[in-house]
Amino acid sequence: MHRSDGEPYPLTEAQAGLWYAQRLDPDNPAFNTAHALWIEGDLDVAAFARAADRAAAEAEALALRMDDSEAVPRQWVDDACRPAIERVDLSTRDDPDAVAREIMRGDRLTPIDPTRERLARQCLLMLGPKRFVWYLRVHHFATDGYGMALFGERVAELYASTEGGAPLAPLAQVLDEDAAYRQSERRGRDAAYWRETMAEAPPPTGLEAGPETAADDCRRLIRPIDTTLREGLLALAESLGQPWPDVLTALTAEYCRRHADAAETVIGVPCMGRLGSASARVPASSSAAVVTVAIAASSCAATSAGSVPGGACTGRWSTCSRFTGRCAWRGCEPAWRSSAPARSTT
Amino acid sequence: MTTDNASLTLERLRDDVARMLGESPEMIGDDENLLNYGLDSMRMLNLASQWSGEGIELQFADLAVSPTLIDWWQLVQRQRHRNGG
Repeated sequence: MHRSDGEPYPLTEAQAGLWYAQRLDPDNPAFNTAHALWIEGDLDVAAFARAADRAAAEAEALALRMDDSEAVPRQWVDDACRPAIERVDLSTRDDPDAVAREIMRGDRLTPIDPTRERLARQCLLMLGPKRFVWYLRVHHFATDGYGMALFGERVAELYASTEGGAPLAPLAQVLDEDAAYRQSERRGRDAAYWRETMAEAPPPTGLEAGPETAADDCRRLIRPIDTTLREGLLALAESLGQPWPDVLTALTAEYCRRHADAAETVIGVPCMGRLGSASARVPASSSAAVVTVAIAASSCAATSAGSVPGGACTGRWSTCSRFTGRCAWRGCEPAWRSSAPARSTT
Repeated sequence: MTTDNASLTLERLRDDVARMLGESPEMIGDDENLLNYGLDSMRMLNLASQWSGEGIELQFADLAVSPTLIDWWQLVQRQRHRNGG
């Protein structure tokens, strides 16, 4: 895929942020986004492979190639880079589950040079006659978590029925939309808004003293919360008229503020850039931003929950100015702070 | 699959959306972009799961492409048509 004039595309705004972040730290594999789907039961392996390959043929972003030999980095879709599914038989190994986890971990933690290597890979790891893992790893240049989910749903749809549904939407829609925004007057207004809002932003910190740097990997711990806390959270959300994830975000921010013993804390809230955009149907690296919200010490947890619009800054960032008004109306005074290229995969 | 979603009307959609956004229903026009009222992905998910509980299965990606009441209403009607309702 090239532009209508046959030239490669420039990077989108979202990609450009990631590009320079990766260039600053080329050995950091943090931009490898990966999904593993554990499948138990009868699987028609040939049919699954056909579905996965067909979805990969539709998802143009997974076959992007990048080049930075010119003044600015450029990209185009190269059919040779499409991630055809690799079948890996681990069923005769001693502990197939452990081997599979080790393969996936090793792949995910291997940094990619986007100018030389493929951005995407998918494998079907066969652990036994009724046990499989479908592993998909894509560099964040090519897609984000939402795009991964779209891709997964498409594979499932094609596996269920070869007639199945509409193909994934073309990448050009996303690239053209991004190009139009970059040339628009609105982009200048948005940039001015955020520069002004961020003028006095403090440097990033963590819970521990010292400057915060990006990690190579992240950890996730899933634990159920007890009934009392759950009910309390839902009741508080109801009384504030806010979705519970927003309230939980506010409470987490207050927790961080207390630990940092700071007058205020600024937290990053992923903001989905796909709403109201053709990109809602395209696996790609979207214009998601991390919008940061400042929470002051003077507000008790409940009030700050009321003032946190959560991912409320939607679409392009300029809609935030409307939100400032909304929050004032709610009797709070949240300070909106910056937005930076997202490291999240929202 | 439940197909009993006949009770959902355009006005019910408007009421649900308005409640989620803290607006009065009459403020929200059929073709207005709901993002301008503070709709975000979390609130959209909440709405989708609320309607799903009533047997109306709307895909998040479809809701996200064009967040207006009139386009969401068309999604509801299309689903109703597919279910033979």
